[in-house]
Amino acid sequence: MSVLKTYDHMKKEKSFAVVLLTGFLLLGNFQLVCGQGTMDWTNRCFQVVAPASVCAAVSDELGLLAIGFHGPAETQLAVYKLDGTGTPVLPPVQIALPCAEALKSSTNYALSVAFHPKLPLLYVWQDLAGPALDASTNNPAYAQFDHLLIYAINNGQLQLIQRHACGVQYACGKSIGSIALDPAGKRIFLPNLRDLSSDDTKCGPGYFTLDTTGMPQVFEEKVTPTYVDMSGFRSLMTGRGIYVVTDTVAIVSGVYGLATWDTENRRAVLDLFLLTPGPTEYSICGHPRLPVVYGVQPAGATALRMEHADGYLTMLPQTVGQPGATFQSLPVVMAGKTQRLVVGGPHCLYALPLDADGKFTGTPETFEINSSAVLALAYSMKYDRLYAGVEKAP
Amino acid sequence: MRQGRFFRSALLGGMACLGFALSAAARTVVIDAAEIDRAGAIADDAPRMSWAGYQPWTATIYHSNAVDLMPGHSMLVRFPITKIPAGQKITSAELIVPVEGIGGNDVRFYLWRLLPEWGHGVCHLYRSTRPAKSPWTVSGVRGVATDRAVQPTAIVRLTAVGEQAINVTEDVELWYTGAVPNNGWMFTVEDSGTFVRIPSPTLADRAQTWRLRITYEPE
Repeated sequence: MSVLKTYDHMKKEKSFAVVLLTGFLLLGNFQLVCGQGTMDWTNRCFQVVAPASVCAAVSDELGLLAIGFHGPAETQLAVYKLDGTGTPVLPPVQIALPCAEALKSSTNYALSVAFHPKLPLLYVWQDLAGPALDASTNNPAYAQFDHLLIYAINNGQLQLIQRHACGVQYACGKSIGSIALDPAGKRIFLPNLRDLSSDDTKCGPGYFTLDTTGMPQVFEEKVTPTYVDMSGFRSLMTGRGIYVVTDTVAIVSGVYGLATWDTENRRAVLDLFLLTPGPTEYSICGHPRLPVVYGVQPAGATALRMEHADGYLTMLPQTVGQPGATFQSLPVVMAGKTQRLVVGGPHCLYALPLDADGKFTGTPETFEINSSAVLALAYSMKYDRLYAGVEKAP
Repeated sequence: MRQGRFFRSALLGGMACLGFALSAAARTVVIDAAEIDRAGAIADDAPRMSWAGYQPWTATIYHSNAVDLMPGHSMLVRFPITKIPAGQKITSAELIVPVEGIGGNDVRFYLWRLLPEWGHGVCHLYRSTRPAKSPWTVSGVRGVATDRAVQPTAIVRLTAVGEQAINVTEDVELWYTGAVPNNGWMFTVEDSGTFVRIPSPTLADRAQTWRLRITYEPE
């Protein structure tokens, strides 16, 4: 069950105090490289030296870049202010995500970050790995670990104001999982909700309804997620991206392809578009301006484009291959002067050129990066900048 | 006698030459599923979904792997016929449709020629949603003479699964001559208690299972 902890309640719990490490970190620990490479799109890419970064998000409204980490560092979140040109200001605010004292032998890490589209709020989905984190329902993590953290942002400072998603229906120890909000900020979609009739491997997406302040709505003193019964499709994780198109319709990454989740239609909840007869996951993202969704095969070299109408997948997909590629990150769309679908890979970024309709066109490109894996990618429409978390400067 | 033999031989030779010339002039093109440029599966209980194909586990989950045709559940498909060069006459056209499953008594499906343009966002309610939402005359493509042709192109009775070859010469001829635009076909099942399952043409390994075979010759 989800546990509601109000801001006042939170303030009494020192163990969950936010650690703000600003000002006293060596600037040399943080580096930023811009304008490398010879291609037009790479000149619009900031390489943010952030070892072990796994996820990223940009808020054009707030002028902030958030990067989440899964690594040995004591902090799992860094938030950079963006200056008037979209350049991240160093050093970032660093935050240690809260973890109950009883779970300190385990390692908590960020899996996904998302900003509220209208309010100064940052949502973080964290997970936990370590001993005794098997599928047992008696797992202490289920009683004491909050997956969803909500930070208020005020004058560049972040303060944890609520935390949720603690309980047996939230799977632990996952390596993938995405959160996303709808454009109006009425719901936050969640990953890795367990099918309680089965073991920990069967997960699907869910959501919390948000109130006007961006906090999950309380019903009978509880915050309970709505989740979709994906039936046979729950047999594998479905957390490789959630693209929330409207208040009620989202496209989620399914095990066999893409799926439309119509949260308001009880007679037809899911519509899955299959591309292959066997299980084939796709990491997905939406185009920021066009009714188009993209998917890339994790560890594969195939990318697809498909149109949607208000979130309902429609017509036939376009698929392309990038020979020799190994897609690793969630894809992002650069939708400014140069239009590309960009995906992180081992020691590189892959870019698939797009035309004005968002269709794949031309020859895919590769840009070398000094990083064994590039997982944290985000794009700013306002600044037309791509941000990539990397291990080392070039 | 001799003269008669000569004329008979000349006539047979001429006919053989003519037959050879005709067969040399006739051409057949096969358009397979990979070339389909518009498709969708619509259902009345999923009024906005474009790929409400079939429900493998529960009634609330649809997927596109196949389409279960039954009352209220239909499939739309369009094959482009631009492979046929100008100045030809269509002599025959055959649509080959794989049928994977049937259920009920006296099973049959209908093939209808679609009349209006349809595409992005096609569903039970709308024939298109771009640039604006354009509804079917009657939801579910039921508008006779407005959404679909007055008479079905074919009614196909089924007693077993397997490939079905449907004569669609007249439709292809209409499209090719420009008498009506090529907006493809719709498959329906009209009889309660029956269904027909056809595999989706969207999967790569099904590309060869759907075919439109057109034979033409110079006019």
